[in-house]
Amino acid sequence: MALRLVQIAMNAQDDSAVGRFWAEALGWGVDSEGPGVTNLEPVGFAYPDPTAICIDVIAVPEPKTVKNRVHVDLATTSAAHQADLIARLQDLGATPADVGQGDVPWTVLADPEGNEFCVLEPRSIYRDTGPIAAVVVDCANPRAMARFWDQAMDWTLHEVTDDYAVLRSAKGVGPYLEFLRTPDVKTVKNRTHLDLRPYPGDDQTAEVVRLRALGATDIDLGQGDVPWTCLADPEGNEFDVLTPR
Amino acid sequence: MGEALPSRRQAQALKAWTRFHRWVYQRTSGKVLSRMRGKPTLLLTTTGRRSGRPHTVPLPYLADGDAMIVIGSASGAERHPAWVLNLIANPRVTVQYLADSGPANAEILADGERKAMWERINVEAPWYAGYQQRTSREIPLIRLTRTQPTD
Repeated sequence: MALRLVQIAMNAQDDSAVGRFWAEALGWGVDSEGPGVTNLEPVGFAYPDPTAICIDVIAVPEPKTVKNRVHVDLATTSAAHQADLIARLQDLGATPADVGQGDVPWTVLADPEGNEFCVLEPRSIYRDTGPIAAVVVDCANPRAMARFWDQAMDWTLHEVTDDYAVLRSAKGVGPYLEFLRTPDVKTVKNRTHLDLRPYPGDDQTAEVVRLRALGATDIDLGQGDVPWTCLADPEGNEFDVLTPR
Repeated sequence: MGEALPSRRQAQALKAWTRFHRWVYQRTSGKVLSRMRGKPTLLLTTTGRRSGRPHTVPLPYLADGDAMIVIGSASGAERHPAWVLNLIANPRVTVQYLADSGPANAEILADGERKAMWERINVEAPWYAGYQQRTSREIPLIRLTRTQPTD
């Protein structure tokens, strides 16, 4: 029995427009399972697979109000690649963003609805992640987050310090999941959340029970009777446990 | 992957119409807009093949005994409509006709059954033959069978 991260769900007022931006940004294919949901994954991808964390863009009426606590870092292979990617993303509608990063080697941009993300300078650790180097979650206590998430999923904990924690899929492929200590506190529902799945044949309900025992709490986002379960991690970050696949 | 219809503008217009049709149908329990091109219309709810979210579309149908036949034409687009891909991934669906709503099983007709139904469609709804000419895929015909007796 185990869970793994299969995708992130991003809220957007215009899921098609935000979906098209991210598909172009990542060089991925874009699809729609129905109105208000735009699904992104690498072209020719056999979903789900640990080599990529897919993206679902979900339409919501409410606009973004505060800096997101969950964002993606994009990988680059050289300084020229980083510069080219930044230029290309700005052509696609990205804008420079100031999240108080100061003078850093990476560049912070925002997508057409203002969702912040980073274009990283080349780093050897991210050379084989695919276009998304990492999904980054702001937190107050990386060690506590590492404890919870290491047990919640079958992902491998690679590193943990007072400032950050790093996990990656059990197969050692694909993007990293990182928890980064930040001083700001969570004030609103996260606009991007993690979607976890049990493996085929595993029991979704048993996994949810197990997560509650680890410190996850039930949350009501007005979701009603749906096939997934909404939970929050020990710092209140919303995430979903989907059906096995 | 790609655009399901010839142009983005057409796709957006179709989406807006679908949204409006669904909204009217749900609020009037099918008393308004319960027919499309002379065919009775139902609301089909499938489960999103990735997110698990429910998606509801209004569709004209042909009666087939107690079952209902819907047609995955997407007006002859190169790709199956999203609801067909969803019910291939999960054939447990919800069907609403007028005020009556309940669970149903979706099954894609094959071989002789499809052939016979397609011949019937050519007589009763001949415009689908035109849609079939626009696309290289075989337009799927789906039988919806209620899995609980209706009231």
